[in-house]
Amino acid sequence: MIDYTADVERAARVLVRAWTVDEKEIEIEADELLAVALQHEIDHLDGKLFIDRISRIKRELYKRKLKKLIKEGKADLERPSAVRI
Amino acid sequence: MDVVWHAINRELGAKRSAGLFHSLSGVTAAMHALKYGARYDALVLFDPPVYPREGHPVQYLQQSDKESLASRAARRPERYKDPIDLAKQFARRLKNWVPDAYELMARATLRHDRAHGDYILACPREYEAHVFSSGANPDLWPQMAHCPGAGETRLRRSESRRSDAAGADWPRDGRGVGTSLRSDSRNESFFANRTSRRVHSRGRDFPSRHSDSRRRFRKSTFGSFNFRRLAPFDRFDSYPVIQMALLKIRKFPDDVLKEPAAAVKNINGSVEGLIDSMVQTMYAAPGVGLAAPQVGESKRIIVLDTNHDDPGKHLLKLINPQIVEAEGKLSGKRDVSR
Repeated sequence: MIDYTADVERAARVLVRAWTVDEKEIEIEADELLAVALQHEIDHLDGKLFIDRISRIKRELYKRKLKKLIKEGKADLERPSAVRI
Repeated sequence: MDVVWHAINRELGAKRSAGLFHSLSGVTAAMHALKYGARYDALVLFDPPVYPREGHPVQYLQQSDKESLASRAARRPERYKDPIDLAKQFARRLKNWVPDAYELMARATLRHDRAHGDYILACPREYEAHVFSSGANPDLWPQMAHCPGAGETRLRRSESRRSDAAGADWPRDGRGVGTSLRSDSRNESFFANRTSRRVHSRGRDFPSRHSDSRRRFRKSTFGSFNFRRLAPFDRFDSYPVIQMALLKIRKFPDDVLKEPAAAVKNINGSVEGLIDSMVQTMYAAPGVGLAAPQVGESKRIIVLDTNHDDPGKHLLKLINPQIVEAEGKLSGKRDVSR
């Protein structure tokens, strides 16, 4: 498990416009966890990862932690595992 | 099939018409359309046992049905003393029908054989088995797109009880391919079906009532296929009987996560298939959200469910999502990723 927690600044409320599978346009007003989740996932679509949103020091810390876990056999890049926000 | 179509035209005169077919007759209707071109303005096929095209996410699962459907048809008893006997058989196997449907179905399936004084399958079982195995031709689905007069081919889903009841965007128990026939009908009609998830009738019942038979089915069909990665079936008691293969979640530093994803231009079968697989992958992870690049697809699609206590109720499946307004600041909030 490669867990990493960071403080990322997010908007508290968002209005998201999207298509549904039925090709309808919808708008979603979200706050709290859903707002964070939407921002996180939409970041993924822009090729942004949360590590792009944290400071360089923290990023290095994360990379080091990841490397260490892989070395110890506790993490495996090939293995699917949970994605949490 | 063509005789029926001509008879309808003779009786009612030339009018716009839609052909509605269920199950095996859906395959026959598809084959008929391919042979004679689009006779109907629209074809709506419920639950026809056709198979997804090459490369479809559920293709390898679907391939496993063809023998089972054909051999089941070939093993059917041919004669019945009374349609009620067949209706009782249906009732034992299929729990979710309205009460009168069993007898109606039995009477439609059988014809009276005066010479023997009993009832016989209207469609000889060998023929039914033959249509199942030829309908299992994986080319039938893609061919529909090239049916003379056909419009685009796309997937449509069927409704599920659960989504009606909860009013939520629950993953529905069906999917299908659609093609609108006759280009002049401006896509107002479509040919829709549910690709069978194996013996398709059982998928209509809630899988929780069939946990044992599901287990047996999984074992007989997939043998040693590793289901451990799948979320416990009982959590998804309205999920389709067959769980789709889970997608591999890409993680940092995978390159696909770094590139901007492409907008989805039209929502076709492969997009719907991808979304369904993403939903399954997200629940199985378990995760609150999943973006298509995380499963290696550089497409602007996300799925989210912030409440796993009641999976599906708050499920969001969003295509080309955009943040149009944002306000306030949340800092110090947890943002965990892998």
